[in-house]
Amino acid sequence: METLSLLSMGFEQALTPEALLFCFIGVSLGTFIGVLPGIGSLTTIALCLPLTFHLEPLLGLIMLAGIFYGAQYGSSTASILLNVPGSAPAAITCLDGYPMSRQGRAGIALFITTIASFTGGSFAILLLIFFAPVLADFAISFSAADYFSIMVLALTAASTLSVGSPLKGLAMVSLGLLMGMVGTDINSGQFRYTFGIPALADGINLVALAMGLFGVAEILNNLTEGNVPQAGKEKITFRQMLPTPDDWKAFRFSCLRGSFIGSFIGMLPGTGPTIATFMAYAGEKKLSKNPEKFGHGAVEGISAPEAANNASVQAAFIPTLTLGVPGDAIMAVMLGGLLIHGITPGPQLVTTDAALFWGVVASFWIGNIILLILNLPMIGLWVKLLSIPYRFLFPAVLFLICIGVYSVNNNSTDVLLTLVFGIMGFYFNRHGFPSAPLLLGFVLGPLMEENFRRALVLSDSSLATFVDRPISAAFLAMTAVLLVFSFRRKATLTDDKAQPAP
Amino acid sequence: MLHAVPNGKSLTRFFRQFLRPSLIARLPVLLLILTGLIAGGIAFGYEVGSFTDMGPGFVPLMLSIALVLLAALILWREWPMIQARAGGEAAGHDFAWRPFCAVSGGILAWVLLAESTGFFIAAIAQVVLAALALPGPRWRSILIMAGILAVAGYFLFVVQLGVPLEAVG
Repeated sequence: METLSLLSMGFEQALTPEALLFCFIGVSLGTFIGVLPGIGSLTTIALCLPLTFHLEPLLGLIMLAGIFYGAQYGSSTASILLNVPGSAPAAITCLDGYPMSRQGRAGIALFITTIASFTGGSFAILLLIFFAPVLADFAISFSAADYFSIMVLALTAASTLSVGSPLKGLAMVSLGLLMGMVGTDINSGQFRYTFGIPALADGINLVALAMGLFGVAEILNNLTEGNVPQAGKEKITFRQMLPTPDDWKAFRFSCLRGSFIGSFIGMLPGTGPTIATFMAYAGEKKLSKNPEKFGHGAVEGISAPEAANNASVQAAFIPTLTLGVPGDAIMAVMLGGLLIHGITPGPQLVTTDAALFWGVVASFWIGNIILLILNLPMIGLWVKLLSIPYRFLFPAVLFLICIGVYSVNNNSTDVLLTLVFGIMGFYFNRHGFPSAPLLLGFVLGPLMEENFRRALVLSDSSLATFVDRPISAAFLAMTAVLLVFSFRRKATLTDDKAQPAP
Repeated sequence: MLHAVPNGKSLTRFFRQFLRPSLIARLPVLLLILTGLIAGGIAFGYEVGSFTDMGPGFVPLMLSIALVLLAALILWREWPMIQARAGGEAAGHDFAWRPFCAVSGGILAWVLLAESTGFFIAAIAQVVLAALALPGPRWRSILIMAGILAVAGYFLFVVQLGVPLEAVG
C-alpha cells in the first residue's frame, strides 16, 4: 500500500500544469524526431540537455524521458511507410510493417504498433513501480566493489551484445573509459590529458561528445553514403486504421510476449531496446505455426517488437535510477544529465528523492496516454512530416547542434570538439566500430575509477575483494559467461564491413 | 601475432609500414593502438603509484594497456582479411568529399565566426555551407531557410536562454 501512496504523491507532482507541459513537449518532440529518419533520439536528448539546466530537475527529467519513449512511438511510422527505420530499434519493424503497407494495410500497421507500444510501455511501468523499490532496497547494501563489478558487467554487455564484433565493442569501451579520464583527477587534483586546453579542465563536455558521435556522425554518414532519407507522400485516415478480428487475434498474445521480453531485456544493465526488438521478433518467429508468413506482413512481426521496444525503454529506467548504472548510451546521457543537476541516481534516490522518482514514474504513464492520443487520432499529421526533404533537415539539425553545444559553457572550443568527435565517430562507424559503447564507457569511466579506488582502499589493496564479496563475484561471473558466450557465438571476427552499430 | 607480419622486417620498418596515413584511414585499429601508446606514455608522466597507493596515472595506464591489447587482438584476427584485400582497394578513392567538407566547413565557420562577427553571420554561414553538401542550384531556398533558422535561433537561445552572443559583432 505504501507504494500506492507514493505513486499518488508522484501523480500530484506529475499533474501540475508545468509538469504536464514539459511532458507534452517531451513526448511530442520525441514523436517528431522519431518519425523523421536520420535524427536520433540521442541527438535530441543531448540537444535538450542544456535547456533543462534552466529547469527543476523533475521537469527536466520528465521532458528528456518523454523524448526517449516518445521517439519509440514515432520511429515505427517511417519503418512502415517508407521501409526506413526512424531509429535503430525500429529496423525490425520494417520487415513486416513495410509489406503490410504495400498490401494497403499501412493504417492497421500503424494502429497495431501504437497499441503495442502502449501495452509494452504500461507493462514495464508496472514493473518499475513494484520492482524498482525492491531492487533499491537490495542495492543499498552494495559496496564499492559491487558497483565496480556491475559496471564491468554493464560495459561488457553493451559492447558484446550489440550488432557486430564484440572485440570492437570492447575496444570502444576502453577508448570511452580513457576519454572519461580527461579532466581533473578528483583524488589528487592533477590535470589529466587536458593538453593545456582550459575547456578540458572539467573533462570532455558530455553534450559535445554525444552530439559529435551521434548527431554529426549520423549526418556525415547519411550524406557521404548517399543514403539520404527520401521524403514520402502517404496519407493515412483514421478509418483505415481499424484492424480485422484476425489481426486482433494475432496481436493479443504476441504483444504480451513482446512486453515481457522487452521488460526483461530492458532491466539488464548494458542492453538497449535494439536487442529487445530483435529477440522479440526471433521469439515470435520460432513460436509461430506458420513462420513463413514472417517478412510478408505478419501482424506478430510488428506487434511483438514494438511492445518489446517500448517495454525495454521504460524498464531501462530501473537500473539507471535505482543503481545508477545505465543500460545504453541514451540512458548514459540521461544519467550524465542527472549528475549535472546534482542528483546522483542510486538506491538512495528512491527514498531521499522520492518526489523526483515517483513524479517521473507517474509522468511515464501520463506521457504514454498523451502519446496514444498523439499517435492515433493525429497520425495523419505525423505522416505529413515525412514529406519534409532531408536537405532542409540536416542543415537545421547541424545549426541546433552548434548553438546547443555552444550554450552549455558558452564556449567555441566545445563546438570544435563536437566536430572532431563527429569525424571520429563517423570514421570508426564506417569500419564497424560502434559509438554507443564508447559513450557508455565515457560516462561510467569516472564512476568506475572512483569505485575501483574506494574498493581497494577499503580492502587494504586486495584485489580479492572483487571476488570475495558474493554480489561482486556474481556480477563478474556473469561477465565471464557473457564474454565466453559472445566469443563462441561470433567466433569469426572477419566482419569488417559489419553493420554500423547504433 | 607477429608471424603474420611480412618476414624479415625490423620493428622500425614494421612501424613505418604500418603507421602510414593511408593505412590508418583504412585501419582504425592502428589509430587505436597509437592512441593507447600515447595515452599510456602520458599516464607514465603522472604519478602512477601502485595498488596500495594509486596515483592519478594508475587507472589511465591500465586502460591504455587494455586498449592497445584489444586493438592488437583485432588486428591479429583481421589480418588474413586485410592481406587478402591489400592492393585491390584504392584508399579514399570514391569517398564523397563534398558533403564531408560542407558539413565540417559549416561547423568550423560557426566556431570561427560566432564570437567575432556575431550570431547572425555565423548562423547563416554555417547553414549555407552545410546545405552545399547536396548538389543542385537552390540558393533562394537555402538563404530563406538560413534566415528563418537564424532568427528563430536568436530568439530562443540568445533572447530567451541568455546565451551571451552579439547579434552582429
